[in-house]
Amino acid sequence: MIENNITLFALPRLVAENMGTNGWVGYIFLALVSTGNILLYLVVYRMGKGRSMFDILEKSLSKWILYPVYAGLAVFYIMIASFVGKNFFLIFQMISFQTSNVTFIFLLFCMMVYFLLIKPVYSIGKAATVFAFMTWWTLLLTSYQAREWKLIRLTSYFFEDPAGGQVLHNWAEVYTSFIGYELCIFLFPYVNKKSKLFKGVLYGHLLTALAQVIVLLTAFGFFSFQQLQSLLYPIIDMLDFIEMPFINRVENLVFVIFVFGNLISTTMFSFASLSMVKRIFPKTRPKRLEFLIVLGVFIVGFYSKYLSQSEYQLRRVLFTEIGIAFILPMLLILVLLFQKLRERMNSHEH
Amino acid sequence: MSINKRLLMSLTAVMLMLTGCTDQHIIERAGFVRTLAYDLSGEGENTKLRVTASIPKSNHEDAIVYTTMAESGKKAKMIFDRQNNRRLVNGQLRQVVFGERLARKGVWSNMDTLTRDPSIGSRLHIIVAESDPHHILIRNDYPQGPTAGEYLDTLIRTEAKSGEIPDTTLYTFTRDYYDDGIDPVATILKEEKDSLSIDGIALFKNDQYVGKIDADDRMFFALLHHGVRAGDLNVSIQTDRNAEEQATLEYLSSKRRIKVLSTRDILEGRPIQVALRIKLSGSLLEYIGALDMKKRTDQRKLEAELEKTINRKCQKLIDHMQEKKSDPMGIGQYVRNSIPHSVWKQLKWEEVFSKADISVHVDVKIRDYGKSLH
Repeated sequence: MIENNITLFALPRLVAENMGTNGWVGYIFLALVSTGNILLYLVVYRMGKGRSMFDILEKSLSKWILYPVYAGLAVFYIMIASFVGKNFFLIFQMISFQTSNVTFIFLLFCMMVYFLLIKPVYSIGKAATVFAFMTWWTLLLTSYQAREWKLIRLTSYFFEDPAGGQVLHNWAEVYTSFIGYELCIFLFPYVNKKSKLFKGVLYGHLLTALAQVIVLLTAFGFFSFQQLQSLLYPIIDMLDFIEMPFINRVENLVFVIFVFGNLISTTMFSFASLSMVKRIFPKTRPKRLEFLIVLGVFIVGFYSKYLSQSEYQLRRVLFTEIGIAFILPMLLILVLLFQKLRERMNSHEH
Repeated sequence: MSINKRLLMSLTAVMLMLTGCTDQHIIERAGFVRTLAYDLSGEGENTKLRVTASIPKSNHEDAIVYTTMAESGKKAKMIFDRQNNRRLVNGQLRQVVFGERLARKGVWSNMDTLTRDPSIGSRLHIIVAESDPHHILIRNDYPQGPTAGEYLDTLIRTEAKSGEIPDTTLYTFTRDYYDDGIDPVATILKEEKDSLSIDGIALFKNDQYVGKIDADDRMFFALLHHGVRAGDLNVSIQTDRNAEEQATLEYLSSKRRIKVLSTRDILEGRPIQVALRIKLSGSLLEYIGALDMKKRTDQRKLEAELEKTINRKCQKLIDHMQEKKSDPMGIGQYVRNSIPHSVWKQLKWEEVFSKADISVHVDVKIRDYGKSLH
C-alpha cells in the first residue's frame, strides 16, 4: 500500500520515457530486482533474529556516530513524506480546484496524518487495509480502455527510443515507483515470529507490481508511444477518457480516492521518521514527537508550491531513497556478520 | 483532554467545510462553452486567428455566440470573458471546429492548449469545416436541433457510433498525430441550406489538412480505416449485363487485416508489398438489377461483383491517400513492426508509403436477403 502512491499517475510516462518501447518488460525485471531487495531485508530479519535495526547497529557502533545518522534519516523521511503528500495536492489543484489554497488542504491532510500517527502501528496497518480495498477496484476501470486498445501500438521493439538514452540512471528513475517496501524494517520490533510480516510484504509488493504492469500494458496499447512520452500524468488522461451515460470526466472523482494511498504513504514515512527520533529521545511525552514530525512534514511541504518544482523534489528524494533501500540492509548484514564473527572469536578465546 | 479533542474535531469539521467554499463552481454562474471554432481571418502573413465560442443558454433553445480576432485561443477566451456576465468554463467543451484555411496551414498550435488544459476532456470531436465555421455556429434555425452545438454533437455521435465515419476525438487525433506510423483524420462538415452535413473525411499529414475523402466514399474509407460495426453501404455495380445496378448492404460489419508481405531492400527504395484483407458481411436490403436472388449461383455472382466493385473503390482511395502521402490506415504501424528499429528510423515513411504496393482483397458475405424471395 505504501508503494501505491502518487508515482503511479506518472508511471506509464516514466516507463516510456526512461525505458523506451515495451518498457513494461523492463518494469517486470525491476519488480524482480526489488523483490530481491526485500529478500535482503528478510536475511537481516533472520540473521538478527527479529531484533530491530537500532538494536543491531547500536551493539557494534557508537551512539555518537549513529545519532547524527538517525537524525539525518529522520529529516530525510520527513521530506519524502511531505513531498509525496504535497505533490498529490498540487496535481489535485491542477485538475479540480484551480483556485483553492493548496497549503490549507495540505494542512488538513497533515492533521489526518497526525491522527493516524498517534495510533499504534497495528492500527495504521488496519487503516491501510481498508484504504487498499477502496483503491483496488479502480483497476477495473482499465476495461474501459479495452475498446481503443491495440496490440500494434505496443510496437515490436524492446527498449528503443528512450528520451534520454539507455542508462542506469533512467532505470532507477522508474524504480522509484517501488519505493515503500523498505519501510518493513521499521516494523521488526512490532512483529513476532508468528506474524507473517515478510509474506505480507512480498505478496503486497508482487500484487502492486502486477496491478502496475496491467496499468502499463493498458497505457502502452491505448496511447501511441510518442504520445505517452509527452503526457505528464497518463493515468489522468486515461481516466479522462471514461464516459458513462450518467457521468463523464470521472478523473476528478477517481483521483480523490487515491488520497488514501497517499495518506498511508505519508503516514508510513512519518512513522519511519518517528522511529528514528524516538530512538534519540526515548523519554519524551507521548504525542509530542508525533506532533513535531507532522509539523515538520507540513513545514517542508510549505516549500514545494509549484507542481514542476514538487515533481523535481519528489524525484530527487525518491532517488536517494533507492540508495538507502539497498545500502541499509547490506550494511546491517555486514554488521551482523561482524558481530557473529566476534562472537565466535570470543567463544574461541574462552 | 476530551474537551480539547472535541474542540479540535469541531474545528477540523469547520475547516473542512470552509475549504469547499474557497473554490466554488456554481452551475448557474458559469457559462459552459460547448463549441469552439478556429479559423484564419484572411490570407497572408499577418492574419490573426478568428475564434468563435458558442455557449448554450439554460433554456436549451438558443446559444450565445461570441467571436473575435486574437493571437491565440486563450486570449480570445479572455476577450469573451470581458463580455460575458458569467464565467466561461471549458469543462463541457464538445466540439472544436477548424476552418479549412487554418486546417491547411496546420492545427497543432491550437491543439496544444486543448491537450494542456486539464479541464478539457479528451472526448471532444475534432471537425474541419468547409464553410465558414463562424456562420455554422451563429445560426440557430436548424430544424434538427435548437442550437448548432447540440445538433453537431448528436450528428457526429450517431454517425461515428455505426462506424461509418471514424470517431475523430481529441484523443484519437493526438494519439495518431504523435504516432509515427499513422496519420490522423477528422470529420469534414459542410453547411447546407437548412442543415449541416458530414461531407467527408479530412486526411492529415502531420497536423496539416492535405486531402479529402468524399462523403460517398466514406464507407469504403471506413472499411480501410477500421472495423465497421453497423454501417450502410450502397454500391453501384458496373456489370456487363446492363448499365448499372444498385445494391445496398445494411447493418454491415467488417474486419480489416493488414499484412506486410515484403520489405526487402526497403532502404534502397524498392516498393514494399502490403496486403489488406477486408472481410465484410451485411444484409442485402436493396437490389435493383437483373440477377435473381432466389438462385444460389446468382447470389454468389452478386457477392463476387460486390467484391470487385468494393475492391476497385478501395484501391482508388488508397491511390488518393498515397498521392497525398497521408497514411490514416496505419500501414506504417504494421511496417514498423516488421522491420528492425534502425531501419525504421532511417526510413522516410511518407515517401515509402506513397510508393508502396498495396493490394486489397475483399471478402463479401451477404448475411441475408431481407424478407423477399427474389
